[in-house]
Amino acid sequence: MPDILSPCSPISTEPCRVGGLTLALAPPDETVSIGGFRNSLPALHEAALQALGASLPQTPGTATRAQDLSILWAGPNQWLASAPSGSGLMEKLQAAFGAHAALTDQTDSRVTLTLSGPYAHVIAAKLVPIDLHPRCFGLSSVALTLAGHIPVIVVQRDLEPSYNFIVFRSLVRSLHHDILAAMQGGIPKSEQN
Amino acid sequence: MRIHCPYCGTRGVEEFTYLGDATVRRPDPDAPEAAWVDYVYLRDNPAGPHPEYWYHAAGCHGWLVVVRDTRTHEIFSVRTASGGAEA
Ligand SMILES: [Zn+2]
Repeated sequence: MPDILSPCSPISTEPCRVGGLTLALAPPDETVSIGGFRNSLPALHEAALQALGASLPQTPGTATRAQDLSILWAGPNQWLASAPSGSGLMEKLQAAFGAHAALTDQTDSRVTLTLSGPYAHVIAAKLVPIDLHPRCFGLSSVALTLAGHIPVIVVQRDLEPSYNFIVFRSLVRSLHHDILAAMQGGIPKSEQN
Repeated sequence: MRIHCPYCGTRGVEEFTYLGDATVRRPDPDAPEAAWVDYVYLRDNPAGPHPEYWYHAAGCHGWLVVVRDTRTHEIFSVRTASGGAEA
């Protein structure tokens, strides 16, 4: 019997701390991308509500949540669903609306880094070209953008503040390096109050 | 230059990839060779407002039609290439 391959962590699981800031690898959630079929969008939205108790967010840049399940807007008629490891997310989504959307397992394709602590938004702003001021980007806001040269999905997780950077697994070492360098560069005087 | 993506909001040009003229149309398969040469190789180079395709590569991956003044980079309108949302 061949050995079963199991994914190893792409970077150290030890959180890095600089001052009050922490950069950590988030637990490896199950992640599934949802691509709605053009002709069955109303049925897809209805089925999501019925079966999951969560809506697929129709407003760009938003996310919804139901218990352990989180659903991010990931483009026109596209979403990224995630749930803790072992929750059988793919089977749940398949049963809920497998006929109305293309479902692709992304568990091994994405990794999430969490940057948290006072002024985390100022550190994130060194890399991300969008406005992270609370009046533009708040709790559960989602942005598909760049961190330096790396494509990321940025989600504000809580008001500490903390941000999730969802990134392709092969780019996480570079992103980790860039965020850590931004943390070590410190909080600009102009941003402190 | 900043482009207002109908989905993502206003973003810097570094998130987008330029494809080119959004006015060209693929000729009929039996069209004369000259029409195909025109379609494949020849482009106008207008000084002024020009509809062009931009791809939001580092964002929503949407294809947009942007009407841009080639002299000033002023943007007059942005819509999705599929004809959906307008901004
Ligand atoms: Zn966009």
